[in-house]
Amino acid sequence: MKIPKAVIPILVLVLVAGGYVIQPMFFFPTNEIALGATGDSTVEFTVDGLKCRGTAGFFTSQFENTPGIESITTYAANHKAIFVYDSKLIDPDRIKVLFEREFRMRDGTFRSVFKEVDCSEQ
Amino acid sequence: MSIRIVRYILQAFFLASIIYLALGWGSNGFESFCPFGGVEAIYGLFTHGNFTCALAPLNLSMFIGILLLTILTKRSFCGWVCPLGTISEWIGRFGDKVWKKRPRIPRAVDRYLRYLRYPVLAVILYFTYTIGDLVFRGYDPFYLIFSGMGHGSLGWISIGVMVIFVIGSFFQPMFFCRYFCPLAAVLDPFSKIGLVRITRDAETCIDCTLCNKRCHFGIDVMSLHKVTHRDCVNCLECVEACPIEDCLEVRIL
Repeated sequence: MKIPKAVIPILVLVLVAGGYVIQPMFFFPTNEIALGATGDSTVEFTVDGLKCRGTAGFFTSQFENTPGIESITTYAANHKAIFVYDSKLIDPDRIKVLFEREFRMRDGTFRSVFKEVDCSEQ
Repeated sequence: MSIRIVRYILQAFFLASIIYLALGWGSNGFESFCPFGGVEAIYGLFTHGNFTCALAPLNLSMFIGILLLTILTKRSFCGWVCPLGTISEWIGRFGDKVWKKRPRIPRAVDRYLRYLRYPVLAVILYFTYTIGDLVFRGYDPFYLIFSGMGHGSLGWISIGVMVIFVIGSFFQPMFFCRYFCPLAAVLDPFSKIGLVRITRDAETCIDCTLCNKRCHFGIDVMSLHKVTHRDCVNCLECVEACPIEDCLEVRIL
């Protein structure tokens, strides 16, 4: 059956846009760790520098010995990190200080890798 | 407006969008729009339940969209959307202006070289899946161009890749897409299904060869009844070039 040539660009636009629209269906965490504490509060940070599985792993590893954190879930796609924490032991300001601190680089210099862009307590 | 102009507008739009994102002005990085990232993400999702390296949900959803598009309209993504295809096509057009008679890779050699993209795909997936990182960024012209030889590029090796990409496209239209593109290798079997395809009416064809000359992928349109070739990107250049009305048509099935 003959069809108009315009069908091709229309299908191209519809399916490329469709691919964009359905992305929330595949929103899986980049990294997810449980740290043993029992949390009663949740805070969500948008973190500059949280951009791949490697940086997400480094980010969460900074909190392995931090008391009061139940879990950390990171999403590199939108640079989010969600903390479930015990508000009696730690607060969002302290969490921010911990991930924004300077780290020693291979060349011996110190620099901050992560920076808070946004924060919302839930 | 001719369909050729519509295609150029769409190509320019998608290229401009990727440049916009590459400059850091969008909420997503430009890499998240690469559907091949969706192929690279599949193994990590099944084994670890998360995305490898910098891959994102958008890579996977774009890949699914492009897969459906390919089943419907063959590899039209390559001819209408892919920024690398657009750049390759433009360099090839520049080559058309420069070459009086373009040196051609013999058809028989070209035919076998097109199979190179399958081992390229196999090697990329093997190392990406086993190492769990995007280890081929330094060899990927899409990444190298839009990241400005960014993180993961391999110095002189990456420069060599870029030189081969540009000079190759100048000599042979769609050089990278024909011989090395791993996404093309993934889409090939689905492109063979391609429900919307170009058909040729042998009764009205005057064998002018214009369709063959205009095909960037060197498909012998003139000798086919239905263009089922896996490399057809439905760019419709052959249809636009055909001087006989309704000799080359877009048909479904």
